[in-house]
Amino acid sequence: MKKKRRSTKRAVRPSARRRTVRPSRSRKLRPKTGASKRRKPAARTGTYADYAAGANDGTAWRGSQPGSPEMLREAVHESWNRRFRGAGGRRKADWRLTLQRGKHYAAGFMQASGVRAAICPVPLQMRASAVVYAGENETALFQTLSQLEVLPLHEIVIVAGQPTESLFALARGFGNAVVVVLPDRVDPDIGRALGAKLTGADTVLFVDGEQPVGADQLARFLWECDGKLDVVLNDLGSRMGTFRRRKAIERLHEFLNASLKREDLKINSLSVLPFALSRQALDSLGAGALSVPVKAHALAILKGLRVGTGGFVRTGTLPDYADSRWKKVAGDHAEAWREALGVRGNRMHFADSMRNRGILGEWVT
Amino acid sequence: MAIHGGRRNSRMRKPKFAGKGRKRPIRHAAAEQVNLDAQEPIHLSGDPWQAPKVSVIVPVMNERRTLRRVIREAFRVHPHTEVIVVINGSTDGSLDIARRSGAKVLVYDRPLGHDVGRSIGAREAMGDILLFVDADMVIPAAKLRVFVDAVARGTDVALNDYSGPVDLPVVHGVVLAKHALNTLLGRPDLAGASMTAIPHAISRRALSAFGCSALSVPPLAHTMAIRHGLKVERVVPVNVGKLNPVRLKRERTNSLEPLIVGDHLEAIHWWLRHTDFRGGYEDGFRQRGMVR
Repeated sequence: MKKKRRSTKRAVRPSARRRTVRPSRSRKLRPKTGASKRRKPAARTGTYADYAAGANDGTAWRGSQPGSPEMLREAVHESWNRRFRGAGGRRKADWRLTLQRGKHYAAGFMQASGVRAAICPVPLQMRASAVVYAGENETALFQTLSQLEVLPLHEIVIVAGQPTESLFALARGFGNAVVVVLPDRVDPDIGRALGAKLTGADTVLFVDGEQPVGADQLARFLWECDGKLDVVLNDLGSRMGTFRRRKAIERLHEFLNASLKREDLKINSLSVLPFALSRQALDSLGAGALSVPVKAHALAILKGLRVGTGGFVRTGTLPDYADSRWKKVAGDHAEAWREALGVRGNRMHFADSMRNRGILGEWVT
Repeated sequence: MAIHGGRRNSRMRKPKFAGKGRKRPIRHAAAEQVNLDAQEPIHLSGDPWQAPKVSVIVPVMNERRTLRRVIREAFRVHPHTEVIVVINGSTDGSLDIARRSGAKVLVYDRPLGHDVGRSIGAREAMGDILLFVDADMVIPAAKLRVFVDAVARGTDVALNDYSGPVDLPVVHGVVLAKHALNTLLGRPDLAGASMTAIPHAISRRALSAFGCSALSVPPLAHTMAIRHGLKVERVVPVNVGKLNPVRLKRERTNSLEPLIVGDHLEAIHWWLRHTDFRGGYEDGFRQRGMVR
């Protein structure tokens, strides 16, 4: 019995020792948490400072002119941009913090100016615009445009095929909208490609006219595209679940990325809205390439453009096998691989250096 | 006493090795026993008037540990079976094991490369049904027979219904490639089943459709079979991932993943050259001319 007890004691000891070590480790970590605690108030004063700065600018703006919501937005975007850049213009600033600071600034500005409007201030260095292909759903289009309106966009290009009178009026009603009316309904991809061709902005945001997305989410695409990335994709990969549950089309997206040695892009694809493109991307791909988004996706990677993600946006259902849209997307992937195989060779740099193919004689081609 | 005596009678050989008292000699005897069994089908296949029904192809590269058992199971698949062992770059004595087993043996001094042995073996095969297995994985004959039976019933390519681990957010590159290829070829019902995985059986018709060489790049043969409209089916799951812990080790040191991903791309390349520019999929009503 004694022996047994001893053995259990011995067995316990090492872990007990470990336990005694742990507190000292956490003590070592403590200064770090202390530092982050110290940093937090600093950040808070930062946002207060932004609010105060907004109030300051708002007062000045009110003095100069009587304002409408549109003019307010323009003023806030412009002055916030100047402020943000002036204060060091941190390029690698955290997105969430940047958005929050902008909102504080805008709140201060509106409080002081007495004019109110929904607004999403994003500090952008370059001129941005949005392209929307209008579907038949007027409510969705209205909601989409209302969200775009609050962003610092130079123009909103709305492409509509055979629009009804009311839809046309609706689209025209937005201040910075440019409406392109086509005699017939066209494929949405073609519509967006046309829209891309018509805008000269440095950053172009492509959104779905049938699927309204919040301005804050869209703002991130603009932010990521502004001098950082050339192609900003919807980050479906961040919530993709297990492989078994994924759709057939997502497997194609994923394998296309993997075969282009961009596994990090997971299931993300340019065929999913929204996405943003830089001028660099639009010029090197050409607007026509957007007619087949999956091919444009492959081309962007093949051309060495900077491809990344701009946050997750819930989208409509992706086409699945036995869906009427399936043939289109499957064929688009065939085109994408054709392009990639043409550029990188018939194994796309996944060389076969092991097989002795010569020994097999005739080779079926 | 009576029971004792009975036992002794039933195992005549045991006393012979009783002195050594170890398992080894007994095991050796058992192996010889198998060889005797194996002689029978060889006789049949050697008969010019009766060609073997099933050819089992076993590429071997230093797989002494399991080879004997693999060949034994292969011979049990069908009464008229020939086993073709393709030894390449083996230095561990697999050759002796194969020669003593009664199988047809093809020997290459140097390694032929991954899966080239399948082509070499298929070229020599005389059966109506070709069954492909690996030498490092012992699969019971009963399971192998299911694949052969499926081909006998009219399937051209009978695949292992094994898709690999898919309950993960990010799967192995090869698992992804197999699923994606099947999807692109319009066969999402095949899931991750592929000729890349053993065991699988093919008909003589399938072999003449894609040729022996294509078997060296299994996804290519797989794609050709589907493109030629052959009957490609998943048959029964054989969990080859579980059966083979050896490969996990190799996976860490020298992964085959890039090679097999490349094989799938080679297959897509072939497929795109044999269909239109969209792989046979319609374009819908896209007026591409509108934007250039």
